[in-house]
Amino acid sequence: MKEFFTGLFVLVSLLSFFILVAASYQTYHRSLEYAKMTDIACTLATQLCLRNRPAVIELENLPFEGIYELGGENFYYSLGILTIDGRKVDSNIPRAKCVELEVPVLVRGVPAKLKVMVWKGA
Amino acid sequence: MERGLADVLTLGFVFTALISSATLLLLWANLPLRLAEERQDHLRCNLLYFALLNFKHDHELALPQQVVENLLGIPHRELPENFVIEVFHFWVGARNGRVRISIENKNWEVRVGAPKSRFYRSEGKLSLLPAGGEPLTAKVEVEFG
Repeated sequence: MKEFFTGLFVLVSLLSFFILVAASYQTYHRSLEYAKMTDIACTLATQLCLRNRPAVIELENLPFEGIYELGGENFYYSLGILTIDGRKVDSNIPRAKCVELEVPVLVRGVPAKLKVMVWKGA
Repeated sequence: MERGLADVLTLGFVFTALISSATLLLLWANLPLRLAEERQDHLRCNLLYFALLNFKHDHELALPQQVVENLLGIPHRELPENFVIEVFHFWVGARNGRVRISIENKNWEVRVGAPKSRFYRSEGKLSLLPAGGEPLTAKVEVEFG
Protein backbone atom coordinates (compact mmCIF):
# COMPACT_ATOMS: atom_id res chain seq x y z
CA MET A 1 0.00 0.00 0.00
CA LYS A 2 2.84 2.34 0.96
CA GLU A 3 4.65 1.56 -2.30
CA PHE A 4 1.48 2.35 -4.19
CA PHE A 5 1.21 5.83 -2.64
CA THR A 6 4.92 6.51 -3.16
CA GLY A 7 4.61 5.46 -6.79
CA LEU A 8 1.50 7.60 -7.21
CA PHE A 9 3.24 10.63 -5.73
CA VAL A 10 6.22 10.20 -8.08
CA LEU A 11 3.87 9.76 -11.04
CA VAL A 12 1.88 12.88 -10.16
CA SER A 13 5.13 14.80 -9.69
CA LEU A 14 6.41 13.70 -13.08
CA LEU A 15 3.12 14.63 -14.69
CA SER A 16 3.20 18.07 -13.04
CA PHE A 17 6.76 18.48 -14.27
CA PHE A 18 5.77 17.75 -17.87
CA ILE A 19 2.81 20.14 -17.63
CA LEU A 20 5.13 22.75 -16.18
CA VAL A 21 7.65 22.33 -19.00
CA ALA A 22 4.89 22.70 -21.60
CA ALA A 23 3.48 25.80 -19.89
CA SER A 24 6.94 27.36 -19.55
CA TYR A 25 7.67 26.72 -23.21
CA GLN A 26 4.44 28.46 -24.16
CA THR A 27 5.19 31.37 -21.82
CA TYR A 28 8.69 31.59 -23.28
CA HIS A 29 7.30 31.95 -26.80
CA ARG A 30 4.78 34.58 -25.70
CA SER A 31 7.53 36.41 -23.85
CA LEU A 32 9.73 36.26 -26.97
CA GLU A 33 6.92 37.75 -29.04
CA TYR A 34 6.42 40.62 -26.59
CA ALA A 35 10.18 41.15 -26.44
CA LYS A 36 10.27 41.42 -30.22
CA MET A 37 7.51 44.05 -30.19
CA THR A 38 9.23 45.93 -27.34
CA ASP A 39 12.46 45.95 -29.32
CA ILE A 40 10.65 47.28 -32.40
CA ALA A 41 9.15 50.05 -30.24
CA CYS A 42 12.66 50.88 -28.96
CA THR A 43 14.07 50.89 -32.50
CA LEU A 44 11.33 53.20 -33.74
CA ALA A 45 11.75 55.54 -30.76
CA THR A 46 15.51 55.63 -31.32
CA GLN A 47 15.10 56.34 -35.05
CA LEU A 48 12.62 59.15 -34.40
CA CYS A 49 14.40 60.73 -31.47
CA LEU A 50 17.94 60.69 -32.79
CA ARG A 51 17.37 62.29 -36.18
CA ASN A 52 18.94 65.73 -35.92
CA ARG A 53 19.23 66.64 -32.28
CA PRO A 54 18.83 63.85 -29.72
CA ALA A 55 15.42 63.74 -28.01
CA VAL A 56 14.10 66.66 -30.09
CA ILE A 57 11.10 65.69 -32.23
CA GLU A 58 9.87 67.58 -35.24
CA LEU A 59 6.18 67.04 -35.88
CA GLU A 60 6.56 67.65 -39.59
CA ASN A 61 7.07 64.39 -41.52
CA LEU A 62 6.52 62.29 -38.40
CA PRO A 63 5.07 58.94 -39.52
CA PHE A 64 2.14 58.59 -37.10
CA GLU A 65 1.33 55.10 -38.28
CA GLY A 66 2.98 52.46 -40.39
CA ILE A 67 4.24 48.93 -40.78
CA TYR A 68 7.57 47.59 -39.61
CA GLU A 69 8.79 44.36 -41.14
CA LEU A 70 11.01 42.07 -39.13
CA GLY A 71 11.96 38.53 -40.06
CA GLY A 72 9.18 38.23 -42.64
CA GLU A 73 6.53 39.31 -40.10
CA ASN A 74 4.56 42.52 -40.27
CA PHE A 75 4.25 44.63 -37.16
CA TYR A 76 2.00 47.69 -37.10
CA TYR A 77 2.84 50.79 -35.16
CA SER A 78 1.24 54.08 -34.29
CA LEU A 79 2.63 57.11 -32.52
CA GLY A 80 1.22 59.53 -30.01
CA ILE A 81 2.58 62.66 -28.40
CA LEU A 82 1.51 64.09 -25.05
CA THR A 83 2.90 67.46 -24.03
CA ILE A 84 3.30 68.68 -20.45
CA ASP A 85 0.41 71.12 -20.90
CA GLY A 86 -1.92 68.23 -21.78
CA ARG A 87 -2.05 68.56 -25.56
CA LYS A 88 -2.29 65.31 -27.44
CA VAL A 89 -1.44 64.36 -30.98
CA ASP A 90 -1.99 60.77 -32.02
CA SER A 91 -3.29 58.47 -34.70
CA ASN A 92 -6.76 57.06 -34.22
CA ILE A 93 -6.09 53.43 -35.03
CA PRO A 94 -7.95 51.03 -32.74
CA ARG A 95 -5.46 48.68 -31.17
CA ALA A 96 -5.57 45.62 -29.00
CA LYS A 97 -2.78 43.62 -27.39
CA CYS A 98 -0.16 46.20 -28.20
CA VAL A 99 3.14 47.00 -26.57
CA GLU A 100 3.54 50.61 -25.47
CA LEU A 101 6.70 52.59 -24.91
CA GLU A 102 6.80 56.16 -23.60
CA VAL A 103 10.00 58.15 -23.91
CA PRO A 104 10.85 61.73 -22.87
CA VAL A 105 11.22 64.15 -25.77
CA LEU A 106 11.00 67.83 -26.62
CA VAL A 107 8.46 69.00 -29.18
CA ARG A 108 9.09 72.58 -30.34
CA GLY A 109 10.93 73.14 -27.07
CA VAL A 110 8.00 71.89 -24.97
CA PRO A 111 8.58 68.83 -22.74
CA ALA A 112 6.55 65.92 -24.06
CA LYS A 113 6.34 62.15 -24.15
CA LEU A 114 6.47 60.16 -27.33
CA LYS A 115 4.31 57.06 -27.13
CA VAL A 116 5.08 54.22 -29.52
CA MET A 117 2.53 51.44 -29.81
CA VAL A 118 3.40 48.23 -31.64
CA TRP A 119 1.19 45.27 -32.39
CA LYS A 120 1.38 42.25 -34.61
CA GLY A 121 -0.38 42.26 -37.95
CA ALA A 122 -3.04 39.74 -38.84
CA MET B 1 11.97 2.41 10.36
CA GLU B 2 14.90 2.83 8.00
CA ARG B 3 12.67 2.11 5.03
CA GLY B 4 10.21 4.78 6.18
CA LEU B 5 12.96 7.37 6.45
CA ALA B 6 14.24 6.50 2.99
CA ASP B 7 10.73 6.95 1.56
CA VAL B 8 10.29 10.32 3.22
CA LEU B 9 13.69 11.46 1.94
CA THR B 10 12.86 10.30 -1.59
CA LEU B 11 9.53 12.09 -1.56
CA GLY B 12 11.16 15.20 -0.13
CA PHE B 13 13.80 15.11 -2.84
CA VAL B 14 11.19 14.72 -5.59
CA PHE B 15 9.14 17.59 -4.14
CA THR B 16 12.17 19.89 -3.83
CA ALA B 17 13.30 19.01 -7.37
CA LEU B 18 9.82 19.85 -8.66
CA ILE B 19 9.68 23.22 -6.89
CA SER B 20 13.19 24.27 -7.92
CA SER B 21 12.68 23.22 -11.54
CA ALA B 22 9.38 25.15 -11.60
CA THR B 23 11.14 28.28 -10.36
CA LEU B 24 13.96 27.93 -12.88
CA LEU B 25 11.59 27.24 -15.75
CA LEU B 26 9.47 30.30 -14.93
CA LEU B 27 12.59 32.46 -14.71
CA TRP B 28 13.76 31.13 -18.08
CA ALA B 29 10.35 31.67 -19.68
CA ASN B 30 10.25 35.35 -18.70
CA LEU B 31 13.87 36.08 -19.51
CA PRO B 32 13.36 37.58 -23.03
CA LEU B 33 10.69 39.96 -21.79
CA ARG B 34 12.72 41.01 -18.77
CA LEU B 35 15.77 41.72 -20.94
CA ALA B 36 13.63 43.68 -23.42
CA GLU B 37 12.22 45.77 -20.55
CA GLU B 38 15.76 46.48 -19.37
CA ARG B 39 16.69 47.70 -22.87
CA GLN B 40 13.56 49.87 -22.81
CA ASP B 41 14.59 51.46 -19.50
CA HIS B 42 18.09 52.05 -20.80
CA LEU B 43 16.69 53.89 -23.83
CA ARG B 44 14.38 55.94 -21.57
CA CYS B 45 17.34 56.92 -19.42
CA ASN B 46 19.41 58.00 -22.44
CA LEU B 47 16.56 60.03 -23.90
CA LEU B 48 15.87 61.62 -20.51
CA TYR B 49 19.50 62.72 -20.43
CA PHE B 50 19.35 64.21 -23.93
CA ALA B 51 15.97 65.84 -23.34
CA LEU B 52 17.30 67.54 -20.20
CA LEU B 53 20.41 68.59 -22.06
CA ASN B 54 18.34 70.31 -24.76
CA PHE B 55 15.60 71.65 -22.50
CA LYS B 56 15.20 75.43 -22.52
CA HIS B 57 12.75 77.49 -20.54
CA ASP B 58 12.04 81.11 -21.45
CA HIS B 59 15.71 81.89 -21.95
CA GLU B 60 17.94 81.07 -24.85
CA LEU B 61 20.16 78.94 -22.64
CA ALA B 62 19.64 75.21 -22.16
CA LEU B 63 19.03 73.86 -18.65
CA PRO B 64 22.63 72.76 -17.86
CA GLN B 65 23.96 76.17 -18.90
CA GLN B 66 21.39 77.93 -16.73
CA VAL B 67 22.25 75.69 -13.78
CA VAL B 68 25.95 76.36 -14.22
CA GLU B 69 25.40 80.11 -14.33
CA ASN B 70 23.35 79.86 -11.15
CA LEU B 71 26.00 77.72 -9.45
CA LEU B 72 28.67 80.22 -10.42
CA GLY B 73 26.55 83.06 -9.04
CA ILE B 74 25.91 84.85 -12.30
CA PRO B 75 22.80 86.71 -11.22
CA HIS B 76 21.05 87.93 -14.34
CA ARG B 77 19.17 84.69 -15.05
CA GLU B 78 16.87 82.96 -12.65
CA LEU B 79 16.55 79.19 -12.73
CA PRO B 80 12.87 78.17 -12.68
CA GLU B 81 13.55 75.32 -10.26
CA ASN B 82 9.91 74.43 -9.61
CA PHE B 83 9.21 74.19 -13.30
CA VAL B 84 12.28 72.01 -13.80
CA ILE B 85 11.06 69.68 -11.02
CA GLU B 86 7.60 69.56 -12.63
CA VAL B 87 9.14 68.69 -16.00
CA PHE B 88 11.33 66.03 -14.41
CA HIS B 89 8.29 64.53 -12.66
CA PHE B 90 6.43 64.48 -15.96
CA TRP B 91 9.25 62.73 -17.78
CA VAL B 92 10.11 60.22 -15.07
CA GLY B 93 6.45 59.34 -14.43
CA ALA B 94 5.84 56.68 -11.82
CA ARG B 95 9.50 55.63 -11.74
CA ASN B 96 12.49 57.07 -9.88
CA GLY B 97 14.97 59.52 -11.26
CA ARG B 98 17.75 61.88 -10.36
CA VAL B 99 19.56 64.60 -12.28
CA ARG B 100 22.80 66.05 -10.99
CA ILE B 101 24.92 68.80 -12.52
CA SER B 102 28.33 69.43 -11.00
CA ILE B 103 30.90 72.10 -11.66
CA GLU B 104 33.90 73.18 -9.60
CA ASN B 105 32.78 71.18 -6.52
CA LYS B 106 29.32 72.75 -6.65
CA ASN B 107 26.31 70.52 -7.23
CA TRP B 108 22.71 70.97 -8.28
CA GLU B 109 20.40 68.02 -7.90
CA VAL B 110 16.76 67.16 -8.52
CA ARG B 111 15.35 63.85 -7.39
CA VAL B 112 12.01 62.16 -8.04
CA GLY B 113 11.02 59.16 -5.94
CA ALA B 114 13.17 57.16 -3.56
CA PRO B 115 16.78 56.24 -4.37
CA LYS B 116 16.97 52.73 -5.81
CA SER B 117 19.75 50.20 -5.78
CA ARG B 118 19.11 49.22 -9.39
CA PHE B 119 19.05 52.04 -11.91
CA TYR B 120 20.37 53.13 -15.28
CA ARG B 121 22.76 56.00 -15.61
CA SER B 122 23.62 58.33 -18.47
CA GLU B 123 26.34 60.83 -17.94
CA GLY B 124 28.48 63.19 -19.92
CA LYS B 125 30.65 66.26 -19.80
CA LEU B 126 29.53 69.54 -21.20
CA SER B 127 31.74 72.35 -22.35
CA LEU B 128 29.96 75.58 -21.57
CA LEU B 129 30.54 79.21 -22.23
CA PRO B 130 28.86 81.17 -19.46
CA ALA B 131 27.99 84.72 -20.49
CA GLY B 132 31.07 86.86 -19.99
CA GLY B 133 33.14 84.09 -18.42
CA GLU B 134 35.81 81.48 -19.06
CA PRO B 135 34.92 78.21 -20.84
CA LEU B 136 33.95 75.58 -18.28
CA THR B 137 33.29 71.88 -18.19
CA ALA B 138 30.30 70.60 -16.23
CA LYS B 139 29.40 67.03 -15.43
CA VAL B 140 25.79 65.96 -16.04
CA GLU B 141 24.43 62.72 -14.61
CA VAL B 142 20.96 61.28 -15.05
CA GLU B 143 19.72 58.21 -13.21
CA PHE B 144 16.53 56.34 -13.96
CA GLY B 145 15.20 53.24 -12.26
